[in-house]
This record gives sequence, C-alpha cells and structure tokens, in this order.
Amino acid sequence: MSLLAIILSFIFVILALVLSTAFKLGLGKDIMITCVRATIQLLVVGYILNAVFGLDHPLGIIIMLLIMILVAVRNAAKRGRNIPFVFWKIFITISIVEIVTQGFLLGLKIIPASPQYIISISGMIIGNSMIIANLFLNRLQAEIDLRKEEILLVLSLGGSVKQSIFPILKNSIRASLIPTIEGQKTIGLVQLPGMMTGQIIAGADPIQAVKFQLLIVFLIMAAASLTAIILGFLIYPSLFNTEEQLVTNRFLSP
Amino acid sequence: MSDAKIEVRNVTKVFGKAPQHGVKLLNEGMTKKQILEKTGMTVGVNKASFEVKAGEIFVIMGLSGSGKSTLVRMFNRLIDPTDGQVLIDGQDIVKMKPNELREVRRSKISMVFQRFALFPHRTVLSNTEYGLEVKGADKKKQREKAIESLKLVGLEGYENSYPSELSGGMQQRVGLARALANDPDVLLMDEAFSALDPLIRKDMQNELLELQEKMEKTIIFITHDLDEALRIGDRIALMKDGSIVQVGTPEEILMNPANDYVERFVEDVDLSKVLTAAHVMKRPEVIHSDRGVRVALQIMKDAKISSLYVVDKKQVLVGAITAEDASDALKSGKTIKDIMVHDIQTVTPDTLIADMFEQVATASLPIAVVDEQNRLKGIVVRGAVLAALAGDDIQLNGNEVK
Repeated sequence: MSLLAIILSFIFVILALVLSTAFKLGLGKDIMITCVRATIQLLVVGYILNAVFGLDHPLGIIIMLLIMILVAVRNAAKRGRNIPFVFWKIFITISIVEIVTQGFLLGLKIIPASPQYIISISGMIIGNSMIIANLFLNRLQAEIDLRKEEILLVLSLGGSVKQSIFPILKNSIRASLIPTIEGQKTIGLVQLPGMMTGQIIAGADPIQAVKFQLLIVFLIMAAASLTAIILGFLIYPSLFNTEEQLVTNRFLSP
Repeated sequence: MSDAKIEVRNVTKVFGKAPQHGVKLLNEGMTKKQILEKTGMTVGVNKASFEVKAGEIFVIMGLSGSGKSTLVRMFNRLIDPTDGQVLIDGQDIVKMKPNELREVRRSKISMVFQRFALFPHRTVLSNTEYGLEVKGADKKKQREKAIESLKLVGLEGYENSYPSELSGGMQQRVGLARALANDPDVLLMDEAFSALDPLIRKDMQNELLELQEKMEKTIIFITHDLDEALRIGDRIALMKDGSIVQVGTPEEILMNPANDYVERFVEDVDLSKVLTAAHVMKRPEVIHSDRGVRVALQIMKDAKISSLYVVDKKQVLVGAITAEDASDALKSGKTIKDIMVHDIQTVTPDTLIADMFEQVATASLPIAVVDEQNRLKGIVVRGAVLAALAGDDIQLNGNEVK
C-alpha cells in the first residue's frame, strides 16, 4: 500500500467528521483523537515489531509480550479497583493463559517458533483475555450487588465462604464466556475474521487462511475459559475477610 | 444471671479507615456527626445495650440509616462489631472462632431476609432443606424436617413449586420455613415483611404471632414501620442515628416517650389500633342471678349506675338488668331472671378499640369484656374509650398490649 493510498484513506475520517457536524453528534473531537491515536500507536507498534523481528532474540519477544500483558492488565484492573491485589491477580491469570497456550502451540510444533507467529497470536490471546477479565469482573460485581442477601443467607445458616459464593461465581464465569461462544457461532457467515481477511489480502490461499483461523478460534475458546475460571478462583477469597464476612465495599462502592 | 437470651452490651460499629479510633472518640463524648465531620468515619451503631428475653418478640425499629440492620447483623456476626459484646445464652459471639460461629449459625440462630433470598433454581422443598443440607443432616431427616416446617407456615402442597411461581407472601413463608427447619432458638427477621404489600403484610404479621404462640422462639424483628412494631412487638427498641433511644413495651413507648424524638415519632399513631379493651375496662358491678331485685337496686343506687350485669357463681355472664326494669319488677314481684336482658354486646380483653367503635356507639349498656369461658372481666364505658384515645393523663390498666 502506497503512502498516497494511506493519505487518501483519510477521506473516510473527513466523511465521519462531516456527518458528526451535520447531525450535531458532538463527536468531532473524539473522532479526531481516535484517528490520531490509532495512527501513532500502530505506526509505533509497526516499527517496534520490525525491530523485534529483526532482533530475533527470545528476550526481545519476552519483553514485547510482557508489555502487552501489562497494558491489558492495567485496562482490566480498572473494573475491580477496590479488590486487594486485583492487578496482580489479573496479571497472574493472563500470564498463565499465555504460557499454557503458547506452551501447547510451540511444544506440539503447531506453529513455528518465530516472533511473527508468537507475537501475533499472543496479541489475540491477551486481548481476548483482557476482554474476558473485564466482562467477568463486571458481571461478578453486578451479581454480588443483586444477590448479596443470598450470600449472607448461606453464611447465616452456617455455610462456608465457598458455599456462599460458588453459585454466583459460576454464573459470572458462564456469563463472561457467552459473548465469546456466541460470537464464534456465526464466524465466517457474517464477517470474515480480521486475521483471515488480512491473510487473504496478503495473497494467501483462502483454505490455508481458514485452517489458521480455526486454530485461533479453538485457542480463543480455551483461553477465554481459562481466564474466567482462574481469575474467578483468584478473586473470590478477597471478597471476604479473615472472619469469613462479606466485605461488600470491595466491589460496591466506587 | 438474668433470664436474658441475648445480651447486647455496648455494641458499637464504626465504618471507616480507623474504626478503633472512632470508638475512642465516641468514648470521649463526640457525637456521630462530629466524628463524621472530623474523620470521615461513619458510626453505624453507637453503644447499643439491651437484653432480649427468651420467648419474646423484640422489635428493633428505626428509619432507614438508623443502624438497625447493621445492629442485627452483628448478632450472628455477618458484620463484626468494632466494640462491645453480644452474649447468646451467656456465650460471647464476638469472641468465637469461625468454626464455632458456623456451629452457632447452624443450630441456634437463623435469619429471614427482606427480599427472601431464595434460590431460584431450587424447589420450595429444596430451598427449605438448604439449612439442613449445610448442617449435613441425613437426606431423609432433611426431607422430614423441611416438610414439617412447610406445614407450619401453611405451604403444604407447594413442595415442588419454584419460588418464581409463588406470590411475595408465599415466598417469604418459604424463607421463614427454611429458617425454622434448623430449629433455632433465635430468629433474626430483617425487615422480613417490608417487601410485601400492606394486606399480605398484615396477614403475615398475624401469622407470625400465631406461630409464635406455638413455637416460643426468641425473635428479633427489624422494621421501619411503627405500626408493625406496635402490632407484633412484646418490646420495642427505638433507634436513631445508631443509638438506642428507648426500649419498652409498645404501651410504654406510646404513653411515656423518652424524648422529643420518640414523641414526634409516635404522635401520629392511631391509639385505637394499639390499645385494647383490657386497657380501658373498669371493674364491673355484678349481681348473682339468684339474688333479689331489691339487692340489685341497692347496688345500682350505691354505685350510681343505671344497669347491672348478672353472672352465675363461676362469674360467667348470663345477662343484664336496668334500673328501670328492676323498679317495675319490684312492684310486680318479678325476679331478676324474669327481667334479664340476654342480648349483650361482648368483646374479649384483647379486642382493639378500633374494632369496638360501632359497638360503643350503638350499645345502650356498657360493653362487657369476657374471656374465653365467657367470664365477665370488666366493662367498657363510652367515656373511658374517648379518654384513652385523647391520650392525655389517663389511667390505663396495667395490662401489656398484646
């Protein structure tokens, strides 16, 4: 793609801006910021990737992955600010998911151990885990808010912390996985996944692209379930204190 | 030792960054408001002390934010007090370790929640069994206990329904049955009827009272509704801003409010719905049915009254005579039995004044107050009812409001 083509593609930004102004949507500023940010971020990432690929050293890959994970964790941790160590709990979760998935991919030689593969696929896994962590914490918060009495009831009848929170935990894990599972059901029928589109445009054989996309679909399923379950089990003990009492302000207050 | 089932001593709860410091400030005499301004900490409960007797319904009543729910949650330690003791049968709940506490919760205290807290995917029976399940009772015993408990609250036949198929009132019966299935001594009811609509609510209150007669549990009932408190409470603790303002029987609270706050609170209460016939009745002048008309006239003359109730030897009410009929009878030689009126308006001692208005207004004789065996306990005259409702300086009989 030539530089001219990129410059011409700004027509679409102008179109969005014109529409926003015409219909007084008041989004002009946001559209501008988004476009500028996307341009800068992607360009920087492009150059960094170039450098990492050129370096072809495991440390470069590891540092790159670490940065990706940290950014993802920071974003997801906003959801549960009052929970002690929430940042580290999400960090551990996403790291485990990343290690397990890459372990299988590389260990069974499903993908070659080159930075191109590792970093692109990790990007998808980590991004997806971040969304799942977000959904899970969001849902858990809502469920606890709604079913607080249920938790207290189980405790009041002499139940354990685990007994009291388990149904809620299960529900939250389930709910956070539904979008992923549902989303994959219509895959290819409505829109082609971004990665597949990219490969096809880059000249790959569609069948080859499909095979690769299938791998990603399966991976994301596993990564999503792992994320929700690990995070669930790491998070729930911090909702209670040592006296086995529900510490509601960990979630409920802003 | 007193006969207290639960003793609450100086129980304090401070929410915030340094609760212990908050307690210190309270001890130094600072108020809830001052502490909030100075430290940003909220005093949830401020040195609450009282005793709950075995077998009574003790109502903790206050507006929302008064700390009543916080207080009751400290009784089974869903919340830890910052300071103070809660003794149940002399054992300090606050000092218990988690496993001891679980044991107490399984066997001694159960709780009923405002929004029922039923598990939507369990049947009524399975919901009722839940406490026993946690306790680890065997399956057959669980079932028996739960069925018995459902029967007690009138939900026989609904065992296999799901909570969503039941009305609010019925759902709360399931909540109550679940609490009772564990056979606890103490029942904590946190705004248990507040989510129900008014008519159902009244039914539930009556049913709780009926149940209580059979069960004789110690019940701590939280409410923000004064009418509810007066209706079901043997004793009431009034809470404001985290402090207990007054503890007393409904009658004491109405008649001798401890301060302006309580007075303002109770001034709109419809006394006719609290006071009963027993409160306003007088000792009756009576005559035995086998005595003579002349004696009857003499009694009426001495007591300056114009009618007289007639009883048999066991004090059972048989009728009434008027002075007019009696003097006619004296001339014509009739006996008391001949002139006696049988059609007499009667009420029981616990009839609310509100329910006697019509009788009071229309009856030509004072209303007779009789017990279950139809024995005459007293009479109610129009003037006494009016005086009681006016509320000023009346001498109420020393009966507890039921």
